[in-house]
Amino acid sequence: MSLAEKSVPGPVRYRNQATGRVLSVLLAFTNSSQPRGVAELSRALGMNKNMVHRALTTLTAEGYLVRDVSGARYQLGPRLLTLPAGALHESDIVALARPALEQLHALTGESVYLSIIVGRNRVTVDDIQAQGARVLRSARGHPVPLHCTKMSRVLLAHLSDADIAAYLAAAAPLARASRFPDPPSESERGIWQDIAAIRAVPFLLWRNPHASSAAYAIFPVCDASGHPHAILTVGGPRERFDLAEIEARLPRMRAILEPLEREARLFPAPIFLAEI
Amino acid sequence: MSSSAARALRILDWIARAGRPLGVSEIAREASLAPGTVFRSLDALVRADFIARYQASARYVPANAVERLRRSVIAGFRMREPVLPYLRQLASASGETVSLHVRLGWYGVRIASALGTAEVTSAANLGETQPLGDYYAGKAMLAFLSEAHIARYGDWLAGHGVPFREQARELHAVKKRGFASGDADFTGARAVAFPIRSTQEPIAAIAIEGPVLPRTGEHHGGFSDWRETVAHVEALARAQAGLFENPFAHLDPNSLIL
Repeated sequence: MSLAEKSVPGPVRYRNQATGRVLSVLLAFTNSSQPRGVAELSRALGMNKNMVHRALTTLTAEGYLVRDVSGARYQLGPRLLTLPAGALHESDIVALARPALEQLHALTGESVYLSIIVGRNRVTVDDIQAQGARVLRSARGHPVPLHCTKMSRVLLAHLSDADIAAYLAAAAPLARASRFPDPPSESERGIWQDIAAIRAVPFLLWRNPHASSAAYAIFPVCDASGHPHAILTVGGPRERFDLAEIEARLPRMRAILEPLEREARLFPAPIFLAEI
Repeated sequence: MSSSAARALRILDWIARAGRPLGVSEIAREASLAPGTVFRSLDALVRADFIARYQASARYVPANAVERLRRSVIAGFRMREPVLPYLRQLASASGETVSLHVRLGWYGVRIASALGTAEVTSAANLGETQPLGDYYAGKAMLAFLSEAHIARYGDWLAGHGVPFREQARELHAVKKRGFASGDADFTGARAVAFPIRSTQEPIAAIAIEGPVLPRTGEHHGGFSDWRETVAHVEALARAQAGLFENPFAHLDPNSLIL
């Protein structure tokens, strides 16, 4: 055996069981924002309580864990934030969706919008506005109640039934402002019917009933549980972008959206709070 | 208490703070330990995915488990989730990067962010900590604490040999104005930061920052809209107090050195 081979020992020979146990206990706190106690960790890790207690004592002394407010359980310590393991960045649906917005606009030449739920409203947070005399316009940052307009309702429809019920109770009375003339139903029953229709399709094609209005394709972007991160909307005046034109481009639109939909499933959508 | 585990955790700390890959002999020299002892610690840390070999060399860098744990600490602040859409709304309205900061003892820490939509925007590293008085978001929280709390912060700073008098004057101005603004960092980026107050005291701050923000953020055309959005977040914090609890509020601020 050469000297070089001797100086690089095999991993099994150097296995350090006591350290391994302590690191396992620390790792048990990953993805858990709730404090954990000795008995619970002992069950989860298959270690006896003494081992777990010793590991917790070590981790607390080194600042990796702290006792929780009750003093009986443990939580990750703020010291972990000081370990500069590389930059942590937010999974941001706006940044993720930008390439899809650009590609959809390049494909259609029409206006493209990314909208999210903020409070009890839909808010457009990114857009590419089409150029020309007759184009679809929608103000960025302008709040629209979740029960008003088809775009809002696609977001509403992808919330849980309990969240929708809480929204409808909090937003009552559901009078529709005159600036949001579509769709016609204003009753709670009508909205639930609309939600059922939206849920029955993977995306929504819609045109307002007025002859001089716009047509839209509205695509929900959801997390792994089906909760909505956002909607992507492509829309234009019906004389050049009616449903037939949209349908002809649908396969390419869906291919553009596929990478975004896949990435969006990897992190949770924001929680919805109706009672603010 | 396990001395071998404590040793491994300290070695992890060295590797994470080094900012460059470290080898066995360098760590052994720094820690006054035998190379074999260091190697046993490194082996355990590699097996648990806390460190990894740097590009198949004999030197080590932090690995996935450290990042997962840091993310878990940040996820403990449940206010992140309901506030994120508001940050995105502000980022869209201002074009700048918008962040949510909370108190961690006498420090501020960035726990959520939404990237700006302008051509040039500021990066926003989650988990970044700074003493409260050292940056705009920290000042927005510090200025609205009680006089007794601010005095304790001053004592803490003095204990670290840092004078507080100048900062105290600035905090009075921030409180009077209702927000903090000014130079964000050495790059010359500008920022404006608003406190998020519950019924009693500031629990967080929202900062809008970026190189294209005018020097005095309050002169920006959308300033009143920004304040309105921040007011919505404050209303949310009062209505959903449980979600806005700080998981480290029970710790003595003087005991935290970050």
